Amino acid sequence: MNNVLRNNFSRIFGRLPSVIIMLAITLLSIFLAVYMTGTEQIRGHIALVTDNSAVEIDSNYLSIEVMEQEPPMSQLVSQKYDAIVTDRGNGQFDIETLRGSDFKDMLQLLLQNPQAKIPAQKSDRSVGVNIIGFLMVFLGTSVFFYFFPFADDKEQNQLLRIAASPLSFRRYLAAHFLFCLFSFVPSFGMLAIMKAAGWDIGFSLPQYAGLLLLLAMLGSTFALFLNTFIKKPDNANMFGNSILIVTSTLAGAFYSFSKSNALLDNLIHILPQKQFLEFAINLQNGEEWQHLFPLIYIILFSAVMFGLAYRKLKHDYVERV
Amino acid sequence: MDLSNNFKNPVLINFNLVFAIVMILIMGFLTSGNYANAMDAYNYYAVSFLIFGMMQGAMTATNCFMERDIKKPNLRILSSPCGKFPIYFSKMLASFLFDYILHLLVAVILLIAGINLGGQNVGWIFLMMIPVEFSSAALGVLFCCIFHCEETASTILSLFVSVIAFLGGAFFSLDGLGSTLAAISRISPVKMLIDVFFAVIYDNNLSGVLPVLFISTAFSALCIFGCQKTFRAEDYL
Amino acid sequence: MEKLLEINSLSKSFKGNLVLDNISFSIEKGEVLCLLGPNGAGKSTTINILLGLLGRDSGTITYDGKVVSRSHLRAYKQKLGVVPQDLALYEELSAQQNARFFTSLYGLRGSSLDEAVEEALKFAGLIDRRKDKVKTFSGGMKRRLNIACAIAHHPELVIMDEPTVGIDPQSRNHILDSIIKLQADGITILYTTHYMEEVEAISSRIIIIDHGKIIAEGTKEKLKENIQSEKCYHIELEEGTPIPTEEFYDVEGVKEAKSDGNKIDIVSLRGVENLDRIISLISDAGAHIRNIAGEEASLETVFLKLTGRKLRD
Repeated sequence: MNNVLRNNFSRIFGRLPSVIIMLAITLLSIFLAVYMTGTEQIRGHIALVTDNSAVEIDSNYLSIEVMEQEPPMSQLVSQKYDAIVTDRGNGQFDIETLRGSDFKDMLQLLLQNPQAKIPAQKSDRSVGVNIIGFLMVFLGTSVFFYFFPFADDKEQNQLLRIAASPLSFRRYLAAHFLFCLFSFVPSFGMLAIMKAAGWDIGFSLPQYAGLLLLLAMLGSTFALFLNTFIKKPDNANMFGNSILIVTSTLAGAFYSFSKSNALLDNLIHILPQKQFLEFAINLQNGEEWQHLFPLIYIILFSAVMFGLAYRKLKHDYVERV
Repeated sequence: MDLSNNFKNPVLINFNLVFAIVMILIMGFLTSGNYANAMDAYNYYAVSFLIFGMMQGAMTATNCFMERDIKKPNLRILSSPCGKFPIYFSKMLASFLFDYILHLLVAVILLIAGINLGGQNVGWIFLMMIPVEFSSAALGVLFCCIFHCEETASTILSLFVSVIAFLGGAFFSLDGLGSTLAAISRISPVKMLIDVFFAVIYDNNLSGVLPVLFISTAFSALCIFGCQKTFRAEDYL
Repeated sequence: MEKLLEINSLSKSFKGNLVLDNISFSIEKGEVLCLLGPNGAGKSTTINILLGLLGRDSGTITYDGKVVSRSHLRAYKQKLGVVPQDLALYEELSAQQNARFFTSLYGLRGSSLDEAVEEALKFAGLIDRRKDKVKTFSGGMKRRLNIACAIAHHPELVIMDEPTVGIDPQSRNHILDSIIKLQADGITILYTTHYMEEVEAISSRIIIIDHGKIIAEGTKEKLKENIQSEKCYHIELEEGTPIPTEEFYDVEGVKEAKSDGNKIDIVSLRGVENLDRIISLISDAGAHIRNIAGEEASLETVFLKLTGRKLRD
């Protein structure tokens, strides 16, 4: 197994530019997650149209830009502003917004009483969950990249040679999984540095280690599954990355969506990423051991993907006597 | 020939057609609760993911230019007396046509579904898509020429496109996340395109069309120049 | 001589097509057994079954007196060296890195690994290029490295699946010389090919396989003996009147006559002096002979006689 691992590290030197860029982007995503958590308190960005400079609305929940001319409609659509508030004078305002009635009511309240307290949104997440949500996507993408030694071995027939040798196939695969795990070390290191520097990163370092291990397990079994059943590594990568982005977005990796649709909710809960985030939220609330289902689900899901891939590989390459 | 090869690749078709439509549907549905009129959510993501899809066209180009199975047959072209330019330019053209046709199809499907793509200004949208698609394809081919390897070019491009799409507001607008992020967001060409497209669709403001056409064309020319300087026949061997 | 490997009643089908039909053969220690046959004969299928990469429908494989079964598969694989038909090398790594990795799969470590790799690279004539990346190698060098990776761990049996495909004659000769050296060192070799010249150069024994069946087995001398009684004339005519080949059968001793445009191949019994009659027949028809060549019995003719077609049709 060590020899396969060493060989993988030798091979990755040829792809150093990709490794560096991938690393930089993953680390950047951690910063972004931390930063975004801090800005989530702002509930609305308002264009206040008035020619009265005395009008002042000072609320912790609103970011207000005062202007004399109404901004174009496209800036509402592109979410530059959540609402255009026109001052009619005498404390009366016209609100133009594409947002729902909840938002309009909240805005009305804050315009009348800027110091009013607004209850926390159901979709508010801690910095830890935000970070792990971002990492889920970026590290998931990087797993496909770090699985290239296996993908290339299969495409270019080195796998035939390896299968004909006395090396245990299980050890061979284990080496690839371990190699993928190493790719998570820089992210963990970054989190450790941030914590040492006094940043609030949400979870403790041992908790992050456990979460990253789960993520690695999920990502690498998925990568193995796709690379086993899809002949070309390029196609497996493209397909895998598409699936990853779609399912991670649905699961709420970047942004927590609140939708009251039972059918959709149930469908989304099938996604392992959703279960992973649920586990992270339980961990955030200190309830991870009271709600073990997400953890078991993730482990089982990974085991099934691994089992199916292993069976196919054994059928194609191994122990046919 | 390259065009027909692309159309025979189901993964490429999935990537450029199905993925975009699925993401629009998903994101639109998930965020529709934030809007008074649910269609506004779909309208936003229709444009943002159309643009994201156009950026991802760069990956079609890397695949078309230097993918392992295509490299060997392309050797024949290299040994013909046609020079360097037709080699990489034909790949850019084929990728551009493939992506443009599929993304037009996406746009037509969106129009049929009732998405607002500018009404009588939709022609300007289709027009702007042309140089943008081509510049994506040109960028993909340029990356292959620079990195001399399709896998490396693809990986880096994929990350690059995801980052500029994210920063540009393809998934959700960063404008509302503070002045710093809003400023960073403006660096992304995706942001510029989203703003121009929305201005055309909602404000009947065509002032951004010419700059988009001009900048995309200039960018494509720069990429072609870069390919001329960096393309080596030996990368195919 | 002692038998190292025995295959009994091996059969294999793919989607209803019988690819191997009840074949049996053995390899003796220290010999070079050549499996000769055209493309699609079943050579690679046989190899893949021997390597444990492909299942078989029926039959047994016995190695050194023990039936190869799942329980001692690893021990069996330990004794083998594999030179696959496709160049299974890491192009972005050096020759040394490739050899080290593939040799380490057989359990060698540390200084014994280093020594084995160095010895193998010297054997392949690549010691001076050991630190160079494989992608900078010529086709012949890659093939030699392919062999080095297979022999570094000192296997008892080396299985070579068409190891000289697509290389220049000089490199091919180098490889064939290496095989003779390996045999001299006591290594047993199973070699598949569809090149007669290679078989002529290195084989101890030959098995001719076609359409999944063994159609002949023996040393090259023994196989040729079967048609020792025959000789072959190759006649090339000037462009002109083609001669119907049926007329040659009237000549005493002629067994077979085939024409292809202005070329005629005639198989005749040895001992019957009929060349002058054949030449007269051609002159009487008004044709002019450009060239005549006589051919002794060769493996090519053996194959032609046994299968009714040329090896590389």
